[in-house]
Amino acid sequence: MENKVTQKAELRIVRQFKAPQSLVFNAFASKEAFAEWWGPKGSELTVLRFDFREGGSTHYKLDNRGMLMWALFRYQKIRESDSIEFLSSFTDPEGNITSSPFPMDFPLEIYNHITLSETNGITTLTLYAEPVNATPAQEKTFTDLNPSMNQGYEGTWGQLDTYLAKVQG
Amino acid sequence: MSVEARRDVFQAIADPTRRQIINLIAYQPMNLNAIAENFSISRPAVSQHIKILMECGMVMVRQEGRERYCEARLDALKEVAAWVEQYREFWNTQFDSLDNYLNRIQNNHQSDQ
Repeated sequence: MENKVTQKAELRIVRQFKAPQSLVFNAFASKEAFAEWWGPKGSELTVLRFDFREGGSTHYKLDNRGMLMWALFRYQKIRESDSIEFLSSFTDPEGNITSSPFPMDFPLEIYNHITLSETNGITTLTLYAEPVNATPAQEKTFTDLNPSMNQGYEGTWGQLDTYLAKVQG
Repeated sequence: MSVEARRDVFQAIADPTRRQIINLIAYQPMNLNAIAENFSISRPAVSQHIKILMECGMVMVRQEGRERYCEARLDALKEVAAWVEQYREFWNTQFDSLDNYLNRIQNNHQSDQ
C-alpha cells in the first residue's frame, strides 16, 4: 500500500549524559537516587514503594500544588547497567491502575525500554516507548478462533452484521 | 476496573492487521468482503478486527442499499500524535532533570576529593 496513514504509536528518544553508565543506571535503580531527580519540576515526589527488580514495582505520588497524581512502574526485564524494561501507568492511591488524570486520551499502560551504553565517559541513553495493548485476553479470543466460531464464516459474518446493525441504531 | 473493556485508538492501531485495514480504507470506503479479500487470515478474524476498530471509533459503517461500507475515521489518529508529543515532552523534562542530577553529584564527588 502506498499511502500509510496509520503507524504504530511509538516514541524513541536518544540522550547523552556526561556521566559513567553505572551512575546513569543507578539513577533508576536506587531509591535514593531516583527520589533526587524524578518527577516534573514543581511537583513534590513521594516514593511510596520502591522495588527495582524483575517482577518488582515502584509506586509514587506527585503533588503539584495540591493536584495529586499516583503512578506505577512495573519492572519486566532488567540487565544490570545496560537495560531496563518496565510498564508505566497512572494509579489510584492504592496502586490500582486507572486512566490518566488528564482530559486527553492517554494509554492505560505504556511499555518503556531504556538502554544504556558508554563511550569515553559519555553515556548514551535510548528510550523506546509504546502503549501496551491492554487486552491480550480479548485479542486471544479472536486469534485462536474456537471451534464454535469456526462453524463457517457465514455465521460470524452474520453476527458482525447483527452487531453493526445494533451499533448503528 | 475496566482494563478488559478498554477500547481506544491506541488499541486500534496496536495490531498490524488493523493498521493495514485502516490504510486500505483510508481513501475509499470498502465493503466487508472487499476488505477481507486483501487478507490471508480468515474472514471471521478480519470481521473481529473491524468490530474492534468500530468500538475504538476508527471505523464507521454506512449502509448503502444492501451493502455496508466501512469508512475510516482518521480524526481519531490525532489522539495518537498528541499522546506521542506529550509523552516525548514528559521524558525530555525527566532527562533534563536527570542531567542536572548527574552533574550535581559528580561535582560534589570532585569537590570531596
